[in-house]
Amino acid sequence: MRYSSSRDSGAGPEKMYDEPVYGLGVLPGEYEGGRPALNAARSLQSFVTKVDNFIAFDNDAWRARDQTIEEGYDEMNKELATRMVTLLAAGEKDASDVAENVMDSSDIMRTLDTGGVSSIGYASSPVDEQKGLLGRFREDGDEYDADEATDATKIKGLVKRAVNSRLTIPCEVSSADRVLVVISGPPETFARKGLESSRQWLEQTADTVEVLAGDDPRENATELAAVVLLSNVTQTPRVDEIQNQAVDAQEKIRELDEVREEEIEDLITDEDNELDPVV
Amino acid sequence: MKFALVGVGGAGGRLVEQFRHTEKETGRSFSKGSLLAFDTQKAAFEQYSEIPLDRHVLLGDLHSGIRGEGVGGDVDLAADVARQDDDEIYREFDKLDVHNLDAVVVAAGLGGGTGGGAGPVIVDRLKTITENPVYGLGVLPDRSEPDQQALNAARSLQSFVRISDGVVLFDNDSWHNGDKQGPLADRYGELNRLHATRFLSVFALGELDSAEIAENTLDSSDIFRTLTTGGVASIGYASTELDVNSGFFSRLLSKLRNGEKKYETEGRTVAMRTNDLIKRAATRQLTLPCSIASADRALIVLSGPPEECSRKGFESGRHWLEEETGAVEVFAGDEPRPNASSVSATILFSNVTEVPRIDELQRRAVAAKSGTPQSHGQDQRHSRQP
Repeated sequence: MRYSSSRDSGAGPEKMYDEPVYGLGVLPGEYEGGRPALNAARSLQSFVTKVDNFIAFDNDAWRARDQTIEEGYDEMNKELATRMVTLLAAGEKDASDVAENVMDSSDIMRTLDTGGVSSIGYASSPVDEQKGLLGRFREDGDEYDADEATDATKIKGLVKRAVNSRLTIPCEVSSADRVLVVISGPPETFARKGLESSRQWLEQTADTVEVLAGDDPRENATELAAVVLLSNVTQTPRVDEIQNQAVDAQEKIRELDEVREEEIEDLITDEDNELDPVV
Repeated sequence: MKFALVGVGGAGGRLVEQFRHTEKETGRSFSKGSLLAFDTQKAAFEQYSEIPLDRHVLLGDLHSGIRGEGVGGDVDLAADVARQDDDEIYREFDKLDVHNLDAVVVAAGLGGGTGGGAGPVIVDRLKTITENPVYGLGVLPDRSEPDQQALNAARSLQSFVRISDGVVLFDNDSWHNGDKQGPLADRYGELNRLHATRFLSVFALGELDSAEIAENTLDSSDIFRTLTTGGVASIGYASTELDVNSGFFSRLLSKLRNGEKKYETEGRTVAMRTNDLIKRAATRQLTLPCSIASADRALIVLSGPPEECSRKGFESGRHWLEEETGAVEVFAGDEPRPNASSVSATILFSNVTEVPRIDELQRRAVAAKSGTPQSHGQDQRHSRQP
């Protein structure tokens, strides 16, 4: 799927193009304070109504104790890029191998065609080269089945991990409207059963029948990855928190505005107003 | 932020002199030589070496009561003189490149006749030639100065605050530990250096030639926003010297050796050190002692080598400051200086309204006005040691 990024947050692109316009926004962390929360809450409202879908990224979810300021932002950008690329590359017909369960851009568009806020989960694990390549050449059929079973379990485990712990914005999975899952990695590690049982598990967990599943074979990949797009999630505690923080901030700002002039005058004049200004 | 620097009176001129010196020394080019020093006393200009001759402006040299000899601490006379020299003042403003700068800063001693009296008039005239903010930088008179100075300062502060877009105050007294360090007047040079470090860490932010691009960038609009409250501002500062030996190489070594231990020196993580630094900047010596809980807005600048700036420590420090000040608008940014030998935190507190030192000044001023001299700080200090 071809896409372009834009820094334009105003009313613009969505009117200029027939193609859908998706927003990708980083929400401020709790520790960034009241003002960023207020800005975010306001801009979230207009963003969500203006774009076809808003993929949210929670700054707080990616903080780590020993990061420097520089590293913090680097890592966050990397995490975000990995998710976006894995997801969007799935629908891209390039020189990569042909997928068994083909996924194209219309599937991604269909999943995102809900409006609202979306969250992306991601998990990966290194490919065991012994099993992955050499294991395939063994003639023993039982062993092959065992491998198939292991791979299936592994894929389902990966999908669960993607959804349960590594979402761009933590949310109640059952509140998702539509779901799309992509398994990306060396094709020999794919197990059809794994993808199928992942899809079933997602249908139950997200409580929706609209779950699309596909694979994206990457012959030389060293990792097996699962990316899960949860579209139009409506229960996101972090958004509620930001809204509460914003309401508090707005109230506080109004209070401060009200007393400001009076407090300044109190400070610079004496109690009985005996002193007059020079100018 | 780039700004023009205008000194009025002796204390103001000395600050401009010091700022210009610091600008050259540290490679923070904020004024681009946009300077002026106003005085009513011809002799005052002799002490300047950084402020070029063509930027020395003598006010009231034709005024009958002055003739280049100063106003003798009379703020009303100084204000009058400045008003009469309006044309001259506006002509001198042409030398300031205000249209290519972000702001103008007017430095003055509020207790002095010229600084306290002509200062607000000059701020007022500057306001008519620029849409950009005009900030005051005021030095409060020492407790050891005569009551007249307290009266001048209390009256001048009213004008400065009402006319300018905000006044950063310096209280020299709080930096002076009694007689141990000798007379306060002998320490002006040293104190001005301390003030310059604090003021420029905030106001000359982003003008460091050697700085890398910051992750959380602050620019002049953040400084404006912090100070749009008007009122009186105070600045806190703390810095830590980094051990150069255990600095770059050992940090690099431990980085290569082991990820988890990479920032643990002296048993404290860099997050803890960053956090402590911010707390120290807020609670130690402020340019004007005040209750930080009364601050309206704040701005934190963390400056140092990127590996000494912890994200978590920075965020929790900022959050702590938000709680302490009760402010909603607490701006924070970093200034990466890859090879710096120290890391510092500077905090600008805008519109602080609980300032015991100003209350004290006003009480002395009222007493001086009604002719009943009060015992001042110098005496109090002596009485502490019976």
